[in-house]
Amino acid sequence: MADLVSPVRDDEPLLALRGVGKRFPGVVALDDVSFDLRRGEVHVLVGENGAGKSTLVKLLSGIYQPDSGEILYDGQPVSIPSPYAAQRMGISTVHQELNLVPELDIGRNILLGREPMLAPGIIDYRSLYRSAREPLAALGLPLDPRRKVRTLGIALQQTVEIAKALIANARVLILDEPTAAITAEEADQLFTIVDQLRARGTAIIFISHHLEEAFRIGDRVTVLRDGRLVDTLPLAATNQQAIIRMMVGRELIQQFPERKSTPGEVALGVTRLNRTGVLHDITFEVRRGEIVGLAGLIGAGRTEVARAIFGIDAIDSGEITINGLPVRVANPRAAVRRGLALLPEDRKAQGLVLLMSVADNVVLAAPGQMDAAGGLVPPKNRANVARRFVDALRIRTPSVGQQARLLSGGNQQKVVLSKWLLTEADIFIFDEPTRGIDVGAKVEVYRLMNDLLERGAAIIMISSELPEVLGMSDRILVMRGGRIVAELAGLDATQERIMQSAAAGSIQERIEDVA
Amino acid sequence: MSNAASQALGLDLRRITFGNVWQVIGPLASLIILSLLIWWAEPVFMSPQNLLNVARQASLTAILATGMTFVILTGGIDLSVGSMVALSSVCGGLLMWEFGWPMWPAVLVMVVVGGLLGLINGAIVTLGRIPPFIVTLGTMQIFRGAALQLTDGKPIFDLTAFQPSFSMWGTGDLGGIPAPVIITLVVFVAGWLILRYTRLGLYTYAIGGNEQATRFSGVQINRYKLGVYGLMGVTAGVAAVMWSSRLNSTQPTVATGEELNAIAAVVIGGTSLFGGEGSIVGTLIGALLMAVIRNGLTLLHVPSFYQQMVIGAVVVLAVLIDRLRRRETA
Amino acid sequence: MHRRTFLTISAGLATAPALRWTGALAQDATPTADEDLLDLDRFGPVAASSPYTLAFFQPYPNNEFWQRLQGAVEARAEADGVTVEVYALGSNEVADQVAQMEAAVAAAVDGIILGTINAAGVVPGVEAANNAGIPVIAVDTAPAGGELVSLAQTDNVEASAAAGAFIAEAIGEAGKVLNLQGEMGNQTAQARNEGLHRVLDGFAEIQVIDQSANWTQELGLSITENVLTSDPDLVAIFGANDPAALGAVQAVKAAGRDDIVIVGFDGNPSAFEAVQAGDMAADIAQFPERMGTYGVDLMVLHLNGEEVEALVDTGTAVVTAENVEVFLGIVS
Repeated sequence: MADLVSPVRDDEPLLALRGVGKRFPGVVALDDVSFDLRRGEVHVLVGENGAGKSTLVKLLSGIYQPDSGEILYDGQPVSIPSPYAAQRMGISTVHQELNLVPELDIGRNILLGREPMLAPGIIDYRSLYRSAREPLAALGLPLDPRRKVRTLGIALQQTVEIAKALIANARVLILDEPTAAITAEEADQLFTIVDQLRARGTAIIFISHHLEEAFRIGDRVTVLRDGRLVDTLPLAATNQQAIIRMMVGRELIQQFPERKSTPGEVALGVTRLNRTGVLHDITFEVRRGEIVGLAGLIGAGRTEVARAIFGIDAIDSGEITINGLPVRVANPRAAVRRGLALLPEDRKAQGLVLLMSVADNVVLAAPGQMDAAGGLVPPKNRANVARRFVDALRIRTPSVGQQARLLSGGNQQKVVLSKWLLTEADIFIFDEPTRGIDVGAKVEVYRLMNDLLERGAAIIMISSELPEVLGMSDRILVMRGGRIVAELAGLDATQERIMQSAAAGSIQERIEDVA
Repeated sequence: MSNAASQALGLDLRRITFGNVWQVIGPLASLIILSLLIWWAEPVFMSPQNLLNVARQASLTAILATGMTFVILTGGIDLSVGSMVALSSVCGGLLMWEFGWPMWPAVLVMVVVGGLLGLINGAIVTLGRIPPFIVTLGTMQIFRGAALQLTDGKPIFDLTAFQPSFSMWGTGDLGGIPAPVIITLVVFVAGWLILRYTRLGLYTYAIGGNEQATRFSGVQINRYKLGVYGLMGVTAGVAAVMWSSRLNSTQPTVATGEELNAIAAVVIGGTSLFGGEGSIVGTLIGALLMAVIRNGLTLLHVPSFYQQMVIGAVVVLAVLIDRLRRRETA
Repeated sequence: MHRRTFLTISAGLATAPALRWTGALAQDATPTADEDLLDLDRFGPVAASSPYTLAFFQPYPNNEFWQRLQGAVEARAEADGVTVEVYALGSNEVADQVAQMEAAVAAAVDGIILGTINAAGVVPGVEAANNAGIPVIAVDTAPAGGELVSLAQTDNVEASAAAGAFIAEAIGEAGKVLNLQGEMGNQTAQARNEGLHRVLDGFAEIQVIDQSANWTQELGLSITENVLTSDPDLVAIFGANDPAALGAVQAVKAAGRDDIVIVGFDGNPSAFEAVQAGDMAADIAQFPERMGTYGVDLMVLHLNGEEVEALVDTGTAVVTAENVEVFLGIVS
């Protein structure tokens, strides 16, 4: 670990991207992005969901290859063909999903793949555990390396991953949203470790949604938006508001199409909905012709509200009314029969059967809506039905027989929407409706939402993109810790107000921790 | 295949979920090439008599593999089919032999027993939320044990001595086409129609492709899974009728290991063991391919050990071809 | 030639005087009563000098042959005044049988009568009994190692050689013969294959086609169908066990051929019926009754302190239309 100790601070970039681009079918994930990382700095990477942060990380950790541009390491152009190659070059990544073997102990995890040998094939465990103690001690963690990783909390598991990176002589350490799943106190410990590593000359890329963390730990910040570089600047020279402006950036008015509908009668009512430890006293209503936006940080309980209403997760108490009548929604089938529709956040895992054709996906929820005898679902009828939607919603696909996995994000979302139009649903829950969708296609999705409203539908929209929440919602409910903490509408509804309500608690908690 | 190419081919070649020629191109090509090779080495292979033999010998595997295609398309597996055949066969055989039942009711019992056994598998899988591999590993033993128990381990030979008409299912023919071949074709066409035209078929693909998304679309997953395992059982019952008639006996040890042949046929036919993708046409080709190998190598007097090795190699090769094909279209 | 330990033992057996008996029965087998034919009282009944507890290891509880053998063990145990505990094997795993033997050793039985599922794999179990001083007598198949007090078995090589001789004569020592082998990883299948070849390979005009039916009727049927197609001039079929031969009968009948000599091996009632009906020319019958009965008698004699023969051939018979009535009498 000799090079970890060298306290070199150098303004020469250790790692740099020059005009890098990466596209996926239908989406430009990164477009002409340049980025540089110096020894001994913590470089914070921020941006909205879909801004290209994770694509950038995957390029650096060898999971993706750039379509254009080049990567420089120590001033030399390099290619990083695999995660293994990245490790060998000294680039270690701690992903959000940790790469540990829970059933093995800490020592074996830290030295996985680089076990010291007594003889070929025979592991020298004594020296393995001795080696494992070094990075743990360096991180200030006197953990027993014989303890199973399974028994550790998320924060300590993260530290084990960092120890693994130290053993691998990492010169570049990428931390992908390390604070998303840990407590404030644990985050403080993490920051201490990050400080130590910086002092040793390690270059660190730190990805976070929490801007206050960026100011607490970072030296420089790079802001990405829609796959493009907005700016890189020292954190000392800026403030949170400025960064938020850079992240959001675009003019809201252009993006969100005009709407003619006005709120009508109440379509869905939710009263004191509780799910122990997850949701607390959720009460709200949605009217026909209006969009109620659910805002909040990740983990605030927004998706959980959707799941509870849709009958996916059982509720402990509370009442749901549809058109004023109390209903019991025990499972998704009951929800569908009552006219509910869920367009889930993770379209590929929850919204579509990717291996099936567009047509089969469209008819999946309502095979009865076909003019065929005896409840049959002949392929020809499926195709005819699906073609109607492909035309009406302008779904770009070579044919309705095309597998759903081959469509772009926006077109996939339209397929999911078609499925619910076929069931004649009139209460729609959009969970992150435009995640992973191109800017142009986003507008189309917004238009379709407006069309639904004009036809008398009610919409709940969960979104982490503040401009979207502001631009599309009639009212905004802000959630935090499984509660609705604010309702904003009209002039009250600003990004600052939303962020304050959504994050206030976490700042408050941190103050309490310090006290 | 690129989008442009598929557009050039037009809609007709890329029909919904089915009829994708490329999906079965691997097994179909293997079947044709292998047949030509054997024909070249042993001309009698292409004689009508021998082709009927091949079809007859493919019938047991083909019938079971039809049911197995449904199960595997849902992402499941059924290891108990061999035992289901034995238990159904034994039930019907005992009724004719021990209790003097006429042929038709006994045949019906075999099919119904098969269906019930399949439903038992399905019920444990869905209600118990136990992986099908484990459930059917258990019921494989249970059903086989029950078959042995019912007959005291002894085979019942010469069923046609009790019910002469029972011979029609295995040794009869219709215009020169052997009954097992006709039964197989009926089962195959029924399976194809179900997969293509019914909700059960649509949901079979959907459940295997993405169970969560299918559930979130309001589909009652358990009901359809139960249907799929029941269907598997019915095919086992039909196979039991056909096979005990063909062997003119009912044996508690019959069809031992046949589950692996059925699974192999499905896999050779290009159906993904992860579910969601595959076709019943491929399965039929897979069953034929295995029968052609066995038949051809026997005609050529190749020792049995090599036959096993060749079939094993074909299974691996078929999956490999499939993997390469997928990489190209991905 | 003799690759397996078992076959080496068989070769040693060739000098035993009892062996000639096999052929003798085949030629002049016209006994008047079943009792005489079975010859069960060669060593007993023996009065046990104390009520011994014996363990009988049943490797195939569902197999007719082994059920008959077990029946004989139980009957003779009662006659000799000893108790017998049956350890039936539920799986096809030799490891399970070894575990059963260890359990019997732990239960301190007085003697073990062993029907083994795998000659090589069962050796640790035999050795465990040896170490505990518990005598072991094997029936049907000899373990590949360990000490035995005695071994009562059919000589499978000689028996299938007798089948070969029968076939050669019936087809005029010329033509194609299909050999439906057993599961060839099994020593019995190897022995039956060897015996048949020993005789048939001696005739220049006879061509043997080897195919394994894996002991099953299914494969006996489909292989015969295939070979009837590739070799319509087939004149005889040997089934290494009765189900394979019965499968061949099905195929031959379906093909409308009545000129093919079919010989089975095992002595199952259904095979005897096929011989009686003229569908099969002959069946090689073993005498599981003898194995079981002799096994118990020899063990009781040994426990009583007497010397017993180390090797007892329980003989075989070639059952044809001429003597099938008698054999049907035995098995029914």
